[in-house]
Amino acid sequence: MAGGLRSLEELQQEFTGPLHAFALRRLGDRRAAEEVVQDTLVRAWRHADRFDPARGSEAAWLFTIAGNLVIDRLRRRQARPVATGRPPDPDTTMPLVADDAEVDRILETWQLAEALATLSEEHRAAIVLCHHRGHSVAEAAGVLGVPEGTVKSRVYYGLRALRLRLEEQGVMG
Amino acid sequence: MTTPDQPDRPDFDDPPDRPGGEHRGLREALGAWVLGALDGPARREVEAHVASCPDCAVEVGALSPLPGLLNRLSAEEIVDGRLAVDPGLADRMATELRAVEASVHQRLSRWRATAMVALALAAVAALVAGAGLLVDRGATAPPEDRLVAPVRAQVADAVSTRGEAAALAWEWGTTVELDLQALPDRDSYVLWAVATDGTREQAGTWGATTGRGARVRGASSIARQDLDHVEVTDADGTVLMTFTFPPD
Repeated sequence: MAGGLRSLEELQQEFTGPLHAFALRRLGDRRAAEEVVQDTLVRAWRHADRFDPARGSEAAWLFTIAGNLVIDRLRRRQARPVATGRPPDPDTTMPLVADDAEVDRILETWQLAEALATLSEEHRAAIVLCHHRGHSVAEAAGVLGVPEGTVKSRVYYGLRALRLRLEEQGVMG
Repeated sequence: MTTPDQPDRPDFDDPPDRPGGEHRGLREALGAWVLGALDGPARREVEAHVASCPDCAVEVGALSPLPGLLNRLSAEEIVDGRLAVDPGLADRMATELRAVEASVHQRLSRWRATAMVALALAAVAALVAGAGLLVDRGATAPPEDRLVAPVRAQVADAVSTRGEAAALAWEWGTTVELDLQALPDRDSYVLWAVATDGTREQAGTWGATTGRGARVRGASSIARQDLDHVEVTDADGTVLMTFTFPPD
């Protein structure tokens, strides 16, 4: 394939995870997300001659294709029943073009999700309670049924482990 | 996905000039402090310690970008780890992509074979044409001009339907060829071509067959580069399956 695109296998190795997370967050459906990943890679591979590195990164190109496939699916969900030809809701069907900054953010968020997945469940639960749920250490201790010192220690070592993983992945210096 | 249950304990040897117990206890509170989860007195105690302990100040600096990053994910996404790659996914994807590659190659060679036969027939027909027979010229599009899309079920009983649609570009529009097996049981079927601007055109219709298979050729005036997808509906307009072509 021309255009300086890497092989299908290499693209698949590197982007399956990020593309899947990207599609899953927008579609909320694991199977539909898998289809988007597959269609994205197939389209990229079939049209590799159209990839122009001068116009953007390989990742931006892939996420643009994936973004449009996601939009197609959201449109199709809205478009049923068909025969009426009702126009789709423009809010969810804005054409999407990924620029490099946006792609960096998508990749970073995925790496964050990957890093969090390597923490123990106890560490994740303590972090989520204290951060996302806005619990104090005392409240989190009540929810989890453990002493406050245990919550503090889980939050601390959880965050340290997270930081270490992110450093290894090059997300944080 | 391995879960190290051993936290990577940092090497925080207690500085000699500070009571070790206090430093250690407060050190472990830094995470909760950074997340804003400490109540008044505990928070003030940590603040006072960080102000006088350069070690802990450095640690706070290292942890402080994390709350902002954590905001990018919802609590649910973190707890169930749903965004992290399912280890089977990459394998399934590799298998499916290999199958796609193989089918594309196979289809191309099959199409070339068909084209050869068509050319041979045309040559025969050209000979016969002298005897006054009509020749159907130009019925075969060049192989590289054929976009193929697999079937995608839109209703439960179309899940076992197999096959594909091919779109061929012509000056006047697009020909769509369907080759399907195990169609859902309906009295009749309608093939629609849908343009990117939402225009819909009926491209063909056919009735049920005993074998539940169909080889149908339909036509639409929508130019192929404007074709978004084609779909098969039943007589009531319920979409049974769609075929989305790669970009032209």
